[in-house]
Amino acid sequence: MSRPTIQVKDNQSWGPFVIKCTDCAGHLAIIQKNAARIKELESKVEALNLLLSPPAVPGQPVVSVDAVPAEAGWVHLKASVAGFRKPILQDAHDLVIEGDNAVLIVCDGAGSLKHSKAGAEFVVKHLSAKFLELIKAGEAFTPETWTERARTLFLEATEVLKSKTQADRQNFGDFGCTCIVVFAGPDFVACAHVGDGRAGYLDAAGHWLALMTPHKGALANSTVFMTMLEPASLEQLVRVTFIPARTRAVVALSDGPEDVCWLVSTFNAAGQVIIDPNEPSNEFLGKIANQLAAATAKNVSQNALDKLWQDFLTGGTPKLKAQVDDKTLLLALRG
Amino acid sequence: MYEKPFEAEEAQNYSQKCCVALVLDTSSSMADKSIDQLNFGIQSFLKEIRADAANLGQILELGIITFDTAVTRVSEPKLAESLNFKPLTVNGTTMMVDGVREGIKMVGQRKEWYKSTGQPYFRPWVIMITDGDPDSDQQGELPKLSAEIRQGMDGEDFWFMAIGVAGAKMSTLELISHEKMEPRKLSGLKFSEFFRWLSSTIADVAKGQNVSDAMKKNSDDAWDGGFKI
Repeated sequence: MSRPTIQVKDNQSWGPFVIKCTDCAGHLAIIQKNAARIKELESKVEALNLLLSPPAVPGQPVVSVDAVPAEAGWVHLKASVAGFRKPILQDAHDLVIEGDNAVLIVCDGAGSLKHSKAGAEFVVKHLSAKFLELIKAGEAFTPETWTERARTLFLEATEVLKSKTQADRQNFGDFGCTCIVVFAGPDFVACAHVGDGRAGYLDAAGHWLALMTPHKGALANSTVFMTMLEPASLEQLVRVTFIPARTRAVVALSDGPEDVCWLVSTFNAAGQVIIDPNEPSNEFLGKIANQLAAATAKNVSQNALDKLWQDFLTGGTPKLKAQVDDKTLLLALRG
Repeated sequence: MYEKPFEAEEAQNYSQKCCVALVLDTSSSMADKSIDQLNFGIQSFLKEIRADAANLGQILELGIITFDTAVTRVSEPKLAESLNFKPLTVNGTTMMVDGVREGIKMVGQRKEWYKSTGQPYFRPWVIMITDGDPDSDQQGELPKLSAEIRQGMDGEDFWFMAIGVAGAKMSTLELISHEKMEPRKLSGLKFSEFFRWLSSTIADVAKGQNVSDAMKKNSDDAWDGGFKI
């Protein structure tokens, strides 16, 4: 009579173990139950590992990003420029660098709203000050504390803005803007956002990976705004991401320049419908990061970099030149 | 003051692509008016594609090959907006067979690239324009070329279309062409009209129409002088 065997994991090594007590159905059932539990746990570990080290983006070659000397700290590019023939700029941004931390903040004021520029500028200023405070206070983050803290800060920004507009007898709804915060700390990279735009980071394998999925409505260009935040809607409207890994580079942008530096529109595998793969372009971001690294090596001043970056966003490529939406793109590279 | 501008290629947010290899006769017999009109036709074609409201500029990738005493890849397949076309000049004889084979090779390579990068694509086109007949040392290869084109057309690897300009030996073009896409004679030197037809036809194919319907819909006597010379 052949004896049944079963594959189980015994601490560090695999079986097979030959079940000697074949007559004892009870023992066999326990072993099988434990084996199933082990498989279940292993699949969870595998899923977590996949989350921490996502597979390489298919079809995109890696563009190796040059190292920046450690003493340079975080180096960066930042600019917001108005869209083609657009009279006012309704995007706003800030970039906070403090020690080993970098925080990128991008707000995109709704084009159709009267005070959206002021709303974007207010939210950027408020969050910028708050994140600087957090860093200086040495607050450490876990996925849970980041979620809690980011949502609280976003709601607070909205409520302060609401109080201010009410005091000024202005319509709060006219201050609508989106908001993206990317926080690269010593051993994590985190993102919180309301609305559209894109954000990403450079992983250890040299791929740029998305940190957020933009809110997109059924109608073109429809999204959600900071002015819609309420305690009850926080979980739904403030999306958060936390990656427990040290990154060399982060990027955040409004939706204006997204189709230049991101894969946002491709056909699905069946070639029947267009999908948004939400993949940062390794080639675009890698090349820009390397030009930033090269400029850093030549000690180019931040003012000169900002001017060059502003020029690039204004008309550095045909699509950027023709883009009617405002364009903000921040990129920070760790030394 | 550091003044080196930032530069980077735009991410390719692809529309489904259609590669067209133009295989052009630049032998000496194409001198003067013929080459001038061909150059003008290609420039107008590019301009039209770039300005196309239906997004043809993001669909059609154009590669250009010339054949005379040698075969030259003048331009690898590119979107019209990236293609820097320099007017063609004429020289020497007519290595037509090698030129067409290079065109088939070009679209095959482009298809492989589409596949390797997961991009969907329309069946590519190889369009050969000539006013002559292959060099005598290429004549013996015509039956083989014909078989290669037949295999490619039957296997839906590519479309092959031969356009004869005045002076072209149409019987040769008929020999190498597939009955699904017979050779056409260009009326006069109406290259611009032909390219306008081509862009309209490809635009319709890109919208989902099948090729024969698109060709019928866009049939245009302005350039199409029919089959016989």
